[in-house]
Amino acid sequence: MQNNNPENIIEALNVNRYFGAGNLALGNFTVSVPRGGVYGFLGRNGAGKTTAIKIIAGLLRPDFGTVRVLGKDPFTFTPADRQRVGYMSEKQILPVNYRVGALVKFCAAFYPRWHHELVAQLLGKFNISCQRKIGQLSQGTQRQVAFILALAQRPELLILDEPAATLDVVARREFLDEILRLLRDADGGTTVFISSHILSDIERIADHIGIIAGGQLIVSEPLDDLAESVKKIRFHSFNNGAANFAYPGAYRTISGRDEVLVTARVRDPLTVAQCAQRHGASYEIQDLNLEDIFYEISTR
Amino acid sequence: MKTWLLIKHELKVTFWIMPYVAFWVIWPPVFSLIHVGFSLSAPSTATFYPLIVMFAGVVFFREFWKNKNLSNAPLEFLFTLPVRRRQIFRVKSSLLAVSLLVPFLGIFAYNLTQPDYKVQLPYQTAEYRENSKIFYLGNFAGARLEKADDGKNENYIHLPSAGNQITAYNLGYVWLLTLLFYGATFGLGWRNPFYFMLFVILPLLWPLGELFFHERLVHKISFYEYSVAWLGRHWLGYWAVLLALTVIVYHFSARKFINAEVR
Repeated sequence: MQNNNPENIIEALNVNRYFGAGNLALGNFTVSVPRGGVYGFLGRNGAGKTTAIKIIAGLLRPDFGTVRVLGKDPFTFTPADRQRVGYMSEKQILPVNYRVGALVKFCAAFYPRWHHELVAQLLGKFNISCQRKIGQLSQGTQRQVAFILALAQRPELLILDEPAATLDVVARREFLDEILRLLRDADGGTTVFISSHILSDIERIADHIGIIAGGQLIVSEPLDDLAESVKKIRFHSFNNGAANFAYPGAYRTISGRDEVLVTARVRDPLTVAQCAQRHGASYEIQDLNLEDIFYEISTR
Repeated sequence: MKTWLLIKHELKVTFWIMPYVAFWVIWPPVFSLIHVGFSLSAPSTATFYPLIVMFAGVVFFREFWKNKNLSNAPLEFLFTLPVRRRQIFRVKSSLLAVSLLVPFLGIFAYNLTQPDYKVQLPYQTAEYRENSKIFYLGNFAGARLEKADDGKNENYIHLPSAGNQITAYNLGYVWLLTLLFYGATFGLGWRNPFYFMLFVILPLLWPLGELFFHERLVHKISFYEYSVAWLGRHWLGYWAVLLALTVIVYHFSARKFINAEVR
C-alpha cells in the first residue's frame, strides 16, 4: 500500500492479527491518523488497542494487511526513522539496574534532537533524583521517567499506550500539560497517538477520536464532530403511547411507559423533529460527554 | 559509538548472567579433562556435581521466577531505540561467545604450553593394556612406549603433542556449546521455559554421559580419548563441520532475533 495521503502520519489498512489459532486480536483494522494534534485511541479491555499500538510502533507484525507510519512499514524502520517516533508502552519496563541519570544519558546518545533542558526541568518537576535506581522507583515514577524519555526525543510521532494508568491526579495533570506544551512548541509538527481509559484526560487534549471494538475501528473522527453529533434524545408525551417507537440507527434505546431514551447520531435536528412528529411525541436533545459517548458506542 | 554504548548496556543489564553461563559450561570439560581423559588420580566428578547443580540451580530458579526470564534487559526497550536490530544481535551474540570462551583460556594456555602427556597403561588385564597401547601408538603423532624406571611392570605411553589435540578438541567442544546457547538464546528467546531448562538439563546430563562413556576401574579407552584421537586424524572435516554449523546457527539466530516480536 502506498501512503496515498501524506497528510496522514499513520495509515493502516485491513490489518489482521491472530494470537494462536482462532484468537483474533485485530480483524480488518483500518485507521488513518492525520498529521498534527492528538489522536485519542479508545477501546474496552481486550478490544485490541495494545496490539494495534504495537503494530504501529513496529514491535509486532500484522498477519494480513498493511501499515504505514511516516510513509514506511514500521517493522522495517531504519534508525533514522526510529528517531522520529517516540513510544511509551502500557507496561513500560525500563532496565532496572540503571540509575535515572545514567539511563537518561544512555538514551540521549541515540537522539540528535534530545532536549536536555526539558529532561532536567521535568525530573525536577516530578521530583525524581538522578541518583535513584530505576528498580527502586515506584511504578508511577517509572512511568514518569519513561514519559520524560519519550518526550525528550522531540519525536514527530509520539505513541503513548495507557501513559497515565498508574499516575496520581497531580502527576496526570502535569503529564497532560507537558503533552500540550510539546504540541505547542512543535507548532503542528508533532502528532500524539494516545490510548487511555481515563476519558476525561483524552477529552481535554484530543482532537481526533478513534474507538476500537472487537478488533475493528468503529469510530474515527474529530472529537468536536463526535460530540456535536452523538446525542441523547428524550422522547416523551406520546399521543398514542411509546410501544411501537423506533429511531433509525440508534446506538441504544431505552423504552419506558411514557418516554423513550435514545442515543444516536443526530446530524440534522430536523430528523429528530420528524421522528417525534411521526410518533406524536415531544422531545429534548441532550449533550453527552466523551465518557458517555464512548459507553454508548462501545456497548451498543 | 552506538556499538560501544550497546556493549556497555549489555554489560550493565545482562552480563550478570554470563558468569553463571560460564559456570555451567566450564565444569564438564574441566572434569572431563582431569578425570576421564589422561589422569587416573583425579577426584571423582560425582563428589562435586551435586554441589554444583544445587548451587547453580538455586541461583537460576531464583532469577528465573523473579523476572520470569533469564535477562532483565527487556527487548522492547532496545527495539524502540534507534538502532538496527542486527547491531543489537551482534553485540549480544559476541558478548555471549566471549563470555563462554574466556574461562577456557586458562585451559588452552595450559595445554598449549605443556603439550607433553604421559599416560599410564591399564594393568588390570593384558587385553586392555594391549588395546590401549595400540590405540595410543596408532592415533597420536610421535607416541612412544616407556618402561617405568623402578622396574615394575607398568608401561607408560609418552604423547609429545597430545596437549595440542586436547586444546583443539576443547575449543571445538566449547564452540559447539556456544552455538547451542546462541540457538537457545536467540532462537527460543529468554522467556521460553525451554531456554531455562537448558541450564538445568545440560549439567545433569553430563555426568550421566560420562559414566556411560568411561569404565573407571579397568580404564578402557574412554569416549573422550577416542574423540581426541579421531580429531587428530580428521582436522579438516572437523573444522569444516564446525564452520558450517557456526554459519547455520548464527544465521538462524540472527534471523530469529531480528524478526522477534515484542508482545
